[in-house]
Amino acid sequence: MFYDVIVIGAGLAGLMAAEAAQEKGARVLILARGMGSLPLTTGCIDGLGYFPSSSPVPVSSPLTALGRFRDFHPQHPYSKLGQARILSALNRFRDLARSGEIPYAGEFDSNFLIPTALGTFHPTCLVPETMKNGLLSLPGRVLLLGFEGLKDFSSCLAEQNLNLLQAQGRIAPSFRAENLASPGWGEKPVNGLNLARAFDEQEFRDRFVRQVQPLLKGGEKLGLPAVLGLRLSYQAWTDLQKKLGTEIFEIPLPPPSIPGLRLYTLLRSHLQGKGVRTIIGLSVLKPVTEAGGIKGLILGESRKSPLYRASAYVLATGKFVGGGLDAQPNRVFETLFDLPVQYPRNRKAWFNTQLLTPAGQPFNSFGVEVDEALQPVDPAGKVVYRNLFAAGGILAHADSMAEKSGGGVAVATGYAAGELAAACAEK
Amino acid sequence: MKTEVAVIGGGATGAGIFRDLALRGIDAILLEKKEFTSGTSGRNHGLLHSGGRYAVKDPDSGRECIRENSILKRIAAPCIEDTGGLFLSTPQDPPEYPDLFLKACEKIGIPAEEVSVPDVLQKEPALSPQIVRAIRVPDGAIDPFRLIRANVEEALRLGARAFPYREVIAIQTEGGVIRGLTAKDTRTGEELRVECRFIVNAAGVWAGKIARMAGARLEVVFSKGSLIVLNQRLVNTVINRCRPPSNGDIFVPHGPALILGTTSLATEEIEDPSASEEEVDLLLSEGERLIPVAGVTRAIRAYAGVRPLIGAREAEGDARTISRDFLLLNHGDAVGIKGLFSIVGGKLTTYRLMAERTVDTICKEMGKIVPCATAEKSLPFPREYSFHDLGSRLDRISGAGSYSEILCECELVTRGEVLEELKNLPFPTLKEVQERTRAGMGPCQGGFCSPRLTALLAETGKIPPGTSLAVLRKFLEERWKGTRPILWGPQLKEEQLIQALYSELFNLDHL
Repeated sequence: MFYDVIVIGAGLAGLMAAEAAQEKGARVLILARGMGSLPLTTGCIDGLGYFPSSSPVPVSSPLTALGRFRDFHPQHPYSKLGQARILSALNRFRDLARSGEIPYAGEFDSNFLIPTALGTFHPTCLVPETMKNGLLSLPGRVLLLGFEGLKDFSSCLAEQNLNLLQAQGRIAPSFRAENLASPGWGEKPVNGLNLARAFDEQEFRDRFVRQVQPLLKGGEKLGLPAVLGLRLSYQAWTDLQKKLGTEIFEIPLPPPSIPGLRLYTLLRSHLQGKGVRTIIGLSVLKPVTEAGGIKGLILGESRKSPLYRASAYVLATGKFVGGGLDAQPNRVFETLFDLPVQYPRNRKAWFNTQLLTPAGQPFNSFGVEVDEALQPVDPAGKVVYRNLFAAGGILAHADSMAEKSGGGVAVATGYAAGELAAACAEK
Repeated sequence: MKTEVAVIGGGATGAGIFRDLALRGIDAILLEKKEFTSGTSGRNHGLLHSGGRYAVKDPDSGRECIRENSILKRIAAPCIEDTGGLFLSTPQDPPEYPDLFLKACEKIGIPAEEVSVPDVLQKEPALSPQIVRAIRVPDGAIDPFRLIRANVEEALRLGARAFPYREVIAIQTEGGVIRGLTAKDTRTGEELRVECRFIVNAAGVWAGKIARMAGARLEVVFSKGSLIVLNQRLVNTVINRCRPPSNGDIFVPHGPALILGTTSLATEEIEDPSASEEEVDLLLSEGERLIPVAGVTRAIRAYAGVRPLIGAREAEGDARTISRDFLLLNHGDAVGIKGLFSIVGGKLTTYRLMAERTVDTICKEMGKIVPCATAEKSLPFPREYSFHDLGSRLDRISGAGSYSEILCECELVTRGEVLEELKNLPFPTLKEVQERTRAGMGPCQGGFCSPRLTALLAETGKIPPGTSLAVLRKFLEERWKGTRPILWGPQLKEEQLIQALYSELFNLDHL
């Protein structure tokens, strides 16, 4: 079982790395513990929302901000990649999503503000087309519609908070809230997944249109929780807009996120079509190393457990949530290769006393140090394994939570690491 | 407003006195500056002491505990889990202590019985095999929130009046006699004037401050105790270390969780105590002596309470040597302020006795002879009250096919239950809703259900429009204080996910 590139992790970074490597002609295997963090995300690609992260005003253009970014954050993954590589990765992502019928709107050179389920706004730069009509710079009147039983979207709460922002002059549109009665599914719970599956069906959509029509006032847009279809979201959204004769947009909800799940499904099936093999659901993965490099990875614990080998490896296992990092009361470590991680010894310095501060939490930017070729390095700056690359959340110095840069960092570093790993495998 | 007795402090002592007064037909009001049970009464182990812990050093306290232990098991059964308790001696503990302990228990009437270590290990396999001796006592687990609520509710039913969020700001006296007090509504700023002949100062750690308002003197020593909530009920029995009381030597099982405590640190920080990283590390390293997996079990929260202790002058150094007994002070005798009584110290287990003594004294002062009924009369609890049991909850929910109704997945609390509780709460905070329903008490500590609860408060008009984010933010910052000291392993993962929700998605760090 020999591959050119093995990617560890099936989040956005890992999947983009696999894509880049297979585009270069590499034989690629993805090994992952679970389905990755995409279903925990909004499905939007955040570029850079705040810079400096403590600024109260969102960045208007991530691309322009990156010009100065390097001086402030020389170790940030964006600074290591440079503009050209970031842009080519994001363009490739957009083409890929479009070909899978999840077209995205937006550019890396301008930020949108989109509404959230809580009635706050979130800055981002690439959004699924199904969300683009909700941009908070667009004036107009919006009907927010909730579903009885869908507990993570309260149209009332969102309406109150968004109208407050409107009254403060921070966003353009005004909002009104209504709720639709429960679809009456009996034992089947009303949740994002079940609603999304229902919206894939023409019959459910037609019934929905009949229920909504009398609620809509002339000239109102319709804002809905992000549950409009799982496999056929673009089609469902187009169909609903046509039949209701108005603009519709989705609003991201807390996880599990349907737009994130859509993106995961799209990327997985695209890669499968390109011959990339994926093994998911591993509980035990053990590295075998040899003189300065990774020899292979053993799956499982028995003596017969197979050894998977490749010429190059991409580590995209994420931060603590993804399982790439873990911690004991006084120690932070990388879970697969025990790569060097820099962190303060005193646990008190891992956190700020305040939770919600624009300064972010120090532990969110803990991770693996890499060089400009995204290769993990030791504190002296020496490459740890000649055939290992890292991408996404596992990289140190990016606090994607505070910066609002998660998707962008994952796509850009994932794609670059995949290319670099394929080039390394060729040698 | 006019009343006979104004009770200050909505903790266990104040609530117990409030009930006792009502049962004896004395007109009373209860004033609390925050929510009921928001002070030390809601920040402890939830341990129904057998008295064993005090038997050797403080036999009077031990005697009171065992008496009250059996009374509470009768009158407050639905909020007690009769787990029984064990005192375990490890090789690191003084070898002579178990014999001292047995003798002391016998002397004051605590049924303590030595049991065989292999039997104990068979029943409680999580305990350390290093244990050398084991002694069984009648400890239990008690839910202070329900206990206090039942006391307050019975008094209300009897016509007494209770006022949460009213902070006493002045006490009026005339010629050395109590005339009344002024309290401020901590939410609206509105002042409430109360005319009364008697004031009971049951303000706990704030008792000194209240006494000073009346020109009286009362010295209270503050001792902070920190505790950790573990996410697994590793033992079904209250576990004590058989040694002179020290750090991290008690585990109390509560529903699906296990609480490890405590520390004892002199403190001046009484308003909003929190556990430090050092205390957490100390508790776990001590706790591991009794339950070796305690240190690797997921901790979901750490919190702290401040004990108001009396007898400062006798104690030097460790506040544990100060009596955990209580002091009832008739300021009429001491400094000549007639009608003012302070009741300080004591324990949750002895709250009823403290109330009885206090009200006896007030009755004497009034010249009334009405016997106390609180030891016989059961507290009122809703019929279906039982300890929070996830198994039967899930049964009920799946039987009704109402999965969409679950607002808190960790503790299986439904929308209907929350709505029912909201009926009794005119101005609820998220914390109150939590304490009453257990929503948000599980592994994610309200990370996922608090926006849903906030939405429910907004939808039912319980909070004014435009305040929801402030309500949510306040709750999250309070929650953070409890999770921050225990963040590593699984709980750090959980916390990063919570950050992804509130900072990354909702952008609350910038709004």
